Amino acid sequence: MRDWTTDQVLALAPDAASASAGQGLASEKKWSSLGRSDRAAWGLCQGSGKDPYQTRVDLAEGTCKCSCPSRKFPCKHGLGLLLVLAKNAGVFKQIAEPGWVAEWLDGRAARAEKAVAKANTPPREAPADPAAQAKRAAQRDARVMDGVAGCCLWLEDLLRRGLAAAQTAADGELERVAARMVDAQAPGLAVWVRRTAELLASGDGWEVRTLDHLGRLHLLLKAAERLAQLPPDLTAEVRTALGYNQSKDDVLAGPGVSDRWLALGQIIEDDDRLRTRRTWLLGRRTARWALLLDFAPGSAPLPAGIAPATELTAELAFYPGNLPCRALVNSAQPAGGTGLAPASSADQSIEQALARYANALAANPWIARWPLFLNSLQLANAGNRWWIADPAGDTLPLAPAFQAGPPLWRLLAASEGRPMCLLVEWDGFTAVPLTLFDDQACLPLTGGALP
Amino acid sequence: MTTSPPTPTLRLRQLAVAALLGTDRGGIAEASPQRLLDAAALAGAQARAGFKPRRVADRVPPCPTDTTPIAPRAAMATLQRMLTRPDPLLIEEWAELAQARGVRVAPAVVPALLAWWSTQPRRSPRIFAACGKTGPWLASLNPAWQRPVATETIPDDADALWGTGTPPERLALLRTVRAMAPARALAMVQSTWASDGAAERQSFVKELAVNCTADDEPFLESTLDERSRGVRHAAVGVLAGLPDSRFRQRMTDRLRAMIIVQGRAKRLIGKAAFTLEPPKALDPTWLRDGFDDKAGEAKGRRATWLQHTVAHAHRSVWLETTGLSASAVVAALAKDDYAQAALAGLFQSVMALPDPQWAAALVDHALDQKRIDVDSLSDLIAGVPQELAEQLALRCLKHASMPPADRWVLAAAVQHRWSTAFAAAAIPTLAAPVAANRSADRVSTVFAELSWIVPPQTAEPLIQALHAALDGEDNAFIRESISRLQLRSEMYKEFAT
Repeated sequence: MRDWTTDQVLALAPDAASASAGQGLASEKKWSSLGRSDRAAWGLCQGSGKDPYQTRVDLAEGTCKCSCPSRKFPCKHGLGLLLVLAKNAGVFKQIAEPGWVAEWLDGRAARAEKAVAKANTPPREAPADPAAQAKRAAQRDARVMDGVAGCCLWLEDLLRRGLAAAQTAADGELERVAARMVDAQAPGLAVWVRRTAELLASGDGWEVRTLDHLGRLHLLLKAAERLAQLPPDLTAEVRTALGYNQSKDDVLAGPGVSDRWLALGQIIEDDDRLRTRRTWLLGRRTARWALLLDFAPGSAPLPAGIAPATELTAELAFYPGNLPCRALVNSAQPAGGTGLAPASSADQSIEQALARYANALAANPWIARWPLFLNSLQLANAGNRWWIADPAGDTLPLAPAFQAGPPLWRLLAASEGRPMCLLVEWDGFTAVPLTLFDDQACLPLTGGALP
Repeated sequence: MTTSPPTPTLRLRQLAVAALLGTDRGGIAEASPQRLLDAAALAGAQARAGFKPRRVADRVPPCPTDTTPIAPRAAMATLQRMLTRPDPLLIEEWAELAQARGVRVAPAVVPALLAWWSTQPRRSPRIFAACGKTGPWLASLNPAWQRPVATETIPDDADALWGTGTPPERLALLRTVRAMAPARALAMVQSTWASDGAAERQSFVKELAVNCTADDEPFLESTLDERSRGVRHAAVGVLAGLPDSRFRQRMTDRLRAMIIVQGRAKRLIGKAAFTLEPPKALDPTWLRDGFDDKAGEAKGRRATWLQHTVAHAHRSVWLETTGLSASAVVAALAKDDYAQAALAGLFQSVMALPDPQWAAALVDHALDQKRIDVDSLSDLIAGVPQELAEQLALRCLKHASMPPADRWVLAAAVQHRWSTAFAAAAIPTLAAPVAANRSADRVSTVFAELSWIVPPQTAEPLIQALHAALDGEDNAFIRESISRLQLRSEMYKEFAT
């Protein structure tokens, strides 16, 4: 059973309001019938209704279930229960699971088995009409290629008029282009176009970032035009970038990679339309990176995921591609580890880590960010900017969000100015620290509710 | 001479300048959008894949090693929880417990604590100390946290600042210096006295009440001759707290003259042992000692003068002149024509320089009245040192006819953290049910005050007493007070483990 810390629990919170409400319930006085077994903890919390809410937590994954009507996940009761557990596990009595807890856990286990069984069954019967299906696929390909052609024209026109003109153009223009890409069934291109709008407004140095972005989009469009001549794995990467979806079933049906996976870090990003959660896993045996992506539209809750800094024995199914990285969890069991990453699996120098990044880029030039797991990093301040420095003296600049304010001070305080082991996301320009590891513990540095 | 090709990063920047203007402008090597995009894609990929990390030597100096252990995990969790809705008193208590236990705040939580602490009007040094060595180290890196730390010592340029600062700056400086070096503060005030205005003089004199000793007396005595009434009154207030001042001696002599002791014969026929006779007209030389010659009617004026005299005279004069005990003096005063003024003066006198005998005499007298003056009693209790305050409060709480709601008020007048002995004796007296709605409101307000100051070990009995007093009445305000008290009691246990 893993040992939860307050920081790890707060990192699970979907937003700051939930974290604050959870803190309000983080006292055992607010709870009754607190209990735990090897796999779960539970308790009753009196809300505004007549009956107290039944809150239960799967201890391995930190997944919560509560009878309250909240649409947030985890809800404040789940967070509160975990916070009490992090604070003082002793107040939970080790007893037999009551029915409402056991049923839920068994249901989860059954669903997980079903998923495995489903993945292991041979693919469905061929559709009734392969000809019709092939025709539909050809129609979509034709539409996407129209989209690619339209995007090429737009891009050329943009460069002809100049980026300065694009910056002052009406706001709606890029959104209209993006909408056309969605209509052309190439939502991936729509994302690239919308990102252009963000970069045009990204402040100092925007023109370099924008041109770099457009250069990569250009590379994607050229690759799309020659899709038939590309090797299959690269075709898969290009198709993914264009926005072709792979069905989860197909991915799960592919070969899996078994390992003890460490969830080293997690970050949640919000924009107007979509909330995205990235969880980076590192295989202990395979030394392989895997990325779990979860999405939720608008303000809807994210699906339950793997808590940062947990360890699990799992078979992961990777999406096909030149650089298989995005993955789905096929079957998992908590490994029972404490989630500590041995510094030995981290790179010893920035040079070494960047070499891995260059290799990754060679396989897939469109990757947006890549994890760097580095040992013995120290913080440095030069030219009014904050950097992470390795023992050899090489440095990477920290991302704007970590140049000031609570994220910077928290990182600084936790490191105490000494060498530390850090997981960062690198986008080619700046580094976003996700998790700090020391001898005893790990500290999430980003998350819904961290100060 | 050959020039080496530009690095990919530089190349990307050059292309970005071209892209800014657009290829329609002409005059650039990449004349078509296609060529410009090809070049950008190549330079971008090269720049990313061949990223050359910069060499930066300026590492952050490491935080000095702190061997103080980190606070227990549960206590750290409570601190983090409190910081989501910070309550200065509770955080202060957390720091106090941490200090007593010899532990400190976990480094990762220090920024959140300092961010809150540095914006507080009153910044407790104890909270800063609880951050261990991480506190000063982080503050040295964050300019926003430096200033609050620095105000805890006398600045190097104190004398210059005293000469040129704005009135609020000078007052803050005087406060700091007076607390740490009283004589230097006196010298500062004297150095600019001639050029300071009446309002400033008055505020400076008031500050001298802190750490006041006989060394300050000559200067304070001289300020009694100031033209400004405000300055004179401020000086009277400070001198009243100096037990052996010449001011108090003068007041004692005046009081002695006002006490008219009756001869044996009159006493035998049942007359009072003494009567009070304030002067009919004010001696102009008395004005400098804070007497007022304008206030009220003739009779009212005389009462005011009497009260002012009683408040600042040595109380021993009563015993010397009358030969009575303190409680007998109070009993006799209660029958005098000037009873009200004299007793009010005595209350003031005891609050300024408390002693158990006189305080007990006044409390007993007040408790004997038909209508007990709870406000005066609670002022008196609040104005004396804790041990005496607890004695007096217990006297009141155990008084049979004390209304239940007033018991809560008097218990809360012991403003310091209750001793365990007092808590044990006081809490059972509070459990009696209170009557009307207004009393219940009063009790819940008092309970809110108590929730910050009672010893956390007594949380449960006090909560039970509250439920008994309010007959189980419940509202959000009461619940909040109860959970505050429970939080403190949990915090206490968390540090004890």
